[in-house]
Amino acid sequence: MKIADHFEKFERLDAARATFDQTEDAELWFWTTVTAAMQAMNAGLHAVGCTEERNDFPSQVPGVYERLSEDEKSFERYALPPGDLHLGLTPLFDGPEFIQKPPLNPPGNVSLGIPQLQRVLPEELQRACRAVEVIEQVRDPSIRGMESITPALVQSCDRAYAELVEIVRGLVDGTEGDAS
Amino acid sequence: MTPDQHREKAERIRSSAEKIDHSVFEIVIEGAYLSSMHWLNYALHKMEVTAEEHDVVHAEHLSGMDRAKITALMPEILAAVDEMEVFRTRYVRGNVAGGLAAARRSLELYDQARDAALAVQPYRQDAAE
Repeated sequence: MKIADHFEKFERLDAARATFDQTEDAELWFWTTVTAAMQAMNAGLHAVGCTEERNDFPSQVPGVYERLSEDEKSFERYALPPGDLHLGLTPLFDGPEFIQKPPLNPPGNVSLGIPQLQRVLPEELQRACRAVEVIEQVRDPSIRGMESITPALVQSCDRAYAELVEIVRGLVDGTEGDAS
Repeated sequence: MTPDQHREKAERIRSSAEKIDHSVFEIVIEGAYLSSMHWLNYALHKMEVTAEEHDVVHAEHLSGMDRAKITALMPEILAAVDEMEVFRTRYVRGNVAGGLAAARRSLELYDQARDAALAVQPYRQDAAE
């Protein structure tokens, strides 16, 4: 999607976080946080030119994107270079360098592997990646699994989210300033 | 996770989702999907198709043989989850028009998955005597 579209979604999701009680609705509070974070992160990646701004959307298969056909009557799937990233499927746990690793298989192999970015992640986005990592680490054990969502976990997610949003807002505002 | 733990998670998430305004259709869809995945795992464990320590995370990542088997055993649940996976690509990660209708449909699909899951019986593969 375009940066503006990511931000439109992000703003609505960001506001929706307040709907949920961090204890009583911990799972959906967290899920809203991670969904908003994904929109913010994709806007940031587009803003610095690491990924392409396009009119397509990531499927559950890394590297496979879906878009509306030209006549807008059907959807088509394509294997494409990195556009929007599906952060839940991106191997963040190896650290912020995850995204700069080469694909697991050489071009031509059907396995698309880890996406290669258009350029090296700038320092601010490496910090943003670390913030996303803090949030993502809660997803499987505590939301899909039964590990407790403790007040400490909620607090660390909240802090990481605030840091991510501040970084991305700065990057996107900077890009808008450059364009004017 | 045990079936009861999946049920508890599914019902908690569904209950939280009641609080969200449908204009935030992304979270209505996500809540219905996430809780339906817990119902899918509830049913798989109840039918003794998968062990409690092996949960399915994404239906789209199942192997061909596993998908074929689950389709035969619990078609309503897998069909519900598959339809919501499509919504997630188009309306949650994407911005195709129609998110509100997809959110309404997701709530129907959640009911479909829950009702089918609650009706399952253990599946025995023993040869008939």
